[in-house]
Amino acid sequence: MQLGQGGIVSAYVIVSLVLIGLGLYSRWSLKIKLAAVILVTAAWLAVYFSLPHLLGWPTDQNVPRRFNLFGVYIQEPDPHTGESGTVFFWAGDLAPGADPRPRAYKMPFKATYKSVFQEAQGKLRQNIPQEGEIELDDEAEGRPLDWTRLGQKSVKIKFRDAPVNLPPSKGGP
Amino acid sequence: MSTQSIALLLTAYGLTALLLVNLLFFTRWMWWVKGIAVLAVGFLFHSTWSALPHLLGWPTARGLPERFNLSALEIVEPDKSGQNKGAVYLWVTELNLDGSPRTPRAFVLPFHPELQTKLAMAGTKLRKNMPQVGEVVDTPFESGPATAHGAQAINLVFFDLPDPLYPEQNPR
Repeated sequence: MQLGQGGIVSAYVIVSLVLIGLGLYSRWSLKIKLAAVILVTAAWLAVYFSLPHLLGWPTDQNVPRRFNLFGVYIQEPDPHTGESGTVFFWAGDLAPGADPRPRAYKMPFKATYKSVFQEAQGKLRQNIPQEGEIELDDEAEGRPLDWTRLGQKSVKIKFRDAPVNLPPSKGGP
Repeated sequence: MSTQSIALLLTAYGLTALLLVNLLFFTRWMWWVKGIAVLAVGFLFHSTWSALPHLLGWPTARGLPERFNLSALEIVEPDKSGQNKGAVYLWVTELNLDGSPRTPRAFVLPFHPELQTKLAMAGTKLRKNMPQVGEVVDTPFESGPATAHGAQAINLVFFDLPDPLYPEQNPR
C-alpha cells in the first residue's frame, strides 16, 4: 500500500477524533484532558517540524524501472572506517504519468554498479543524456557476504543513450 | 537523515502511545471504544511508517547549506501559459574541502533567469571536470525577486573548487 502525505494527514485526523471523543465523553478530570490535548499537540508539532529535515535525502526504495539519469555520486568502501560504500544517483522516473521531478536514490556499493554508473556519468559529461533501466535479479547466486542485507533484492542496471525526443539535461553531470 | 528528526518522530510516537495507555487503563469507556482507539493509533503509526519512504528522495525547498559542492543540477523553465512557473533542482553535498564522504541532498529553488545563467555556466564547468562550489548570497537579483514552491528566490554564486593545499613533506 502506498501512503503519502494523505496517509499521514488522515492518520492524524483519526487520532484527533479519538482525542475529541476522549475530551467530550470521558470522566477524566479537566487537568488530564488538558494534558492529553497538550501531549497530542506536542506530538503533531514534533512530526511537523521533523519532516522537512527528512526530505531531500536519498531513498533506497521505489527505484523506477526506467529513469532519466541526472547525476551520480559514488562513495567507495573505506577499509579504515569500515564504511561499506554507496552509489547515489539522481534520476527522473520515465513511467507515464510519473512525477517529473528528479528524485535521489542510493544503492549499496558494488563494483558492477560503480562501472556502469561511472560510464553513464562519463557520457553525461559529454552531454549525452542517459536512460537507465532496472532488472530485478531474483535468482541470487551463492551466499550473501553481508547477512544484514539478506532481504535485499539484487538488481541489474544498464544504461543507454536516451532517445532524441527526450529533452536534454541543461544541468551538469 | 537527521538523527534529531528521527528522535523527534520517536518522541511523538511515544507521547501518542502514552495517551493510548492512559485511555486503556484509566477510563471507564466500553471495550469496543478502547478497541477503536487502539486501531486508530495503530493506523497512525503504520501510515506514518509507510508514508515516510515515499517522501524521501524528493527535493526540499528548505535547508540549502550556505556553501556546498554542486553534484548535479536540473533546470525546468517556466512555460508561456504561466501554469508552470519553472524550478531549479540542485543535488549538492555540504562543502567538504577535505574530500571526506558526504551524502548528497536534493533541493528545489524558484526559477529565476539570472540564476539560470549562473547555473548553466556552473553546469558547463562541471562537465569539464571542474568541481563547483556554490554559495548563498544576500545580493538581490537585478530583475527582481521570484517566488515558487512557497519560497523566495535564492541568489547563488559559483566558483571553482580550490585545489587542496598539501602540507610540506619536509618541514624545517
